[in-house]
Amino acid sequence: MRDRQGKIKVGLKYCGGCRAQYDRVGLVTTLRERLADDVEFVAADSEDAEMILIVSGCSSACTRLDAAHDRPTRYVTSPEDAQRWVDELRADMRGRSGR
Amino acid sequence: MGKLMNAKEYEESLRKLKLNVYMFGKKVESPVDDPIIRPSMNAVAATYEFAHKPEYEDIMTVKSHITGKKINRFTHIHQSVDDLVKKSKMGRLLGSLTACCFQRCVGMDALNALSITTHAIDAKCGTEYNKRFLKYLEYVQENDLTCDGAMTDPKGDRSASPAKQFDPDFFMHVVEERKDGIVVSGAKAHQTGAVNSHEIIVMPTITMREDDKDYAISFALPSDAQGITYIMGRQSCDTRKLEGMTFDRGNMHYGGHEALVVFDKVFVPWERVFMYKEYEFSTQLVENFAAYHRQSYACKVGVGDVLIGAAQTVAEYNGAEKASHVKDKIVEMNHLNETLFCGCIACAAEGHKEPSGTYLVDVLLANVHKQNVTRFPYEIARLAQDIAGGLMVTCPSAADFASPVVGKWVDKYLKTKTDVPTEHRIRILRLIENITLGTAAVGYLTESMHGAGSPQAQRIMITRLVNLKQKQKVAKYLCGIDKER
Repeated sequence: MRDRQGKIKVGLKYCGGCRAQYDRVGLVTTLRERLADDVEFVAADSEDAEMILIVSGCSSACTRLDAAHDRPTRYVTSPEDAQRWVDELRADMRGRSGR
Repeated sequence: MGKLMNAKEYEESLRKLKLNVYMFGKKVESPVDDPIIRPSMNAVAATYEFAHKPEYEDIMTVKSHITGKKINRFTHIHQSVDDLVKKSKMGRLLGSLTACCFQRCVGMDALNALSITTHAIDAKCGTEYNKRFLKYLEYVQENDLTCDGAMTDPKGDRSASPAKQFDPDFFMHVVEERKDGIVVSGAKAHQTGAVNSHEIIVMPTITMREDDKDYAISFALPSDAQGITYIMGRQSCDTRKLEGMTFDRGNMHYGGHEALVVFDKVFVPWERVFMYKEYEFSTQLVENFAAYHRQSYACKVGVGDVLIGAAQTVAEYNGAEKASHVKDKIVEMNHLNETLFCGCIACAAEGHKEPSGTYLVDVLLANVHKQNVTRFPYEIARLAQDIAGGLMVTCPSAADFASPVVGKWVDKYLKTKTDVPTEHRIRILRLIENITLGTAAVGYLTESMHGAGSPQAQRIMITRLVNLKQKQKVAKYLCGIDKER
């Protein structure tokens, strides 16, 4: 579901962070700033979330969501992987807007 | 959601308890505010605080299998292998955030062990312990309580059984049976976090025989029940906490504690009794609790994370971080620490479902993990002290550093680099001191040795559980002694 500014609502979920290989909270802060015009981060259990982003501290990506939810889910397991997600998101937005 | 308390609410809940606590021969009127006890309260409070943080909640919280509500994992009964793995990860996480014993795992382990044994007793004896237990569990979950899991009796003469001791109180036992409950006497030693707990869950400490059936009891009580007295154990360097918030305490935020808990004719209502003279189930309860609790030593991996971080930092402060032997020691510390992590993950990943529905760790692997914990932290601590250098134990006090007379000399002669404040160097050394021979060494070293059973207890279990005959059979076939597999 898009808000009035046409932003994508992304449900945000962290893994538990038992041995995070990078600063997960810092990464999300950066993502919020970089995607401020395009994305509104909401709680993962928000009904408004169009997709779910799970920020995992390592490659095991052990977080599991309630099986009942039917939204696309994307795990990011490193800052590099997060950049790939940003690229995918922007490509998808360009496709939708016909640009 | 049930009542998922935050740190402040937890502290306030403790203030309502009327605990009978003694330390240094005097009654402690407000344990929460006592400077020696308070850091340990902070560590338990962290288990509440982090449950509310989005970046930790996936590990710290879970859905109750009884109510379906979101609860703190420390009150959860494991419903899957994933739950067991998350429990190990939670131990590492909290150890890495507090660098001490956060005290709450022992109650979780008692709850899980009792969920299995009460079910087993009912199946054989037609009792209703499991129904009682589940009602109690729901109370614990709904109120997000911290429970002390109390197993270790003083044990008196180790060569004599409970019934043969010259003082019957050396093991917790029934002294009176009433229509509405039982009266018990005895004590529990080394009780981690007892004074920070809302509840105390008592279990037998060893296998009981028929003669010992008065000692085969399990029950839960509010921690401030009439007749319970807590006598605080003291720790190396504990009185540094009376010197104010100086950096000599090493860890400025957290700590742990243990207490001797005495039960002097304490009444227990029947609805809180979970085992009563069913001595043949004492072994199962003891071994399952021990297996869960041996898994819980995942926390030492987290404390190891902090110690490794401190060792690397002091190496950099000293300008020694590029020396090949220092780099190799840091590698060795990490190798040992991650090996410990392997064990606590493995025993969880190989867990299984018990008839009660509770998931239990692989008992052999849990014992192997704990056996490693009796050794590796000592080597990690030795390497940290090696890298730290002797100043860790010869450094003048914070008061000297602040002295208008000698402070300038301490600052001048303990400085290493222009961009490293002397105070920072001393602080990191004090943290290493705290973990390896100060108050936190109680948890990181000696508790690693004896907590959840001393090394020999694990070796007995390893001997019992390993399939030695099968190993011999294959060896004999492969070298041609036997012609068939």
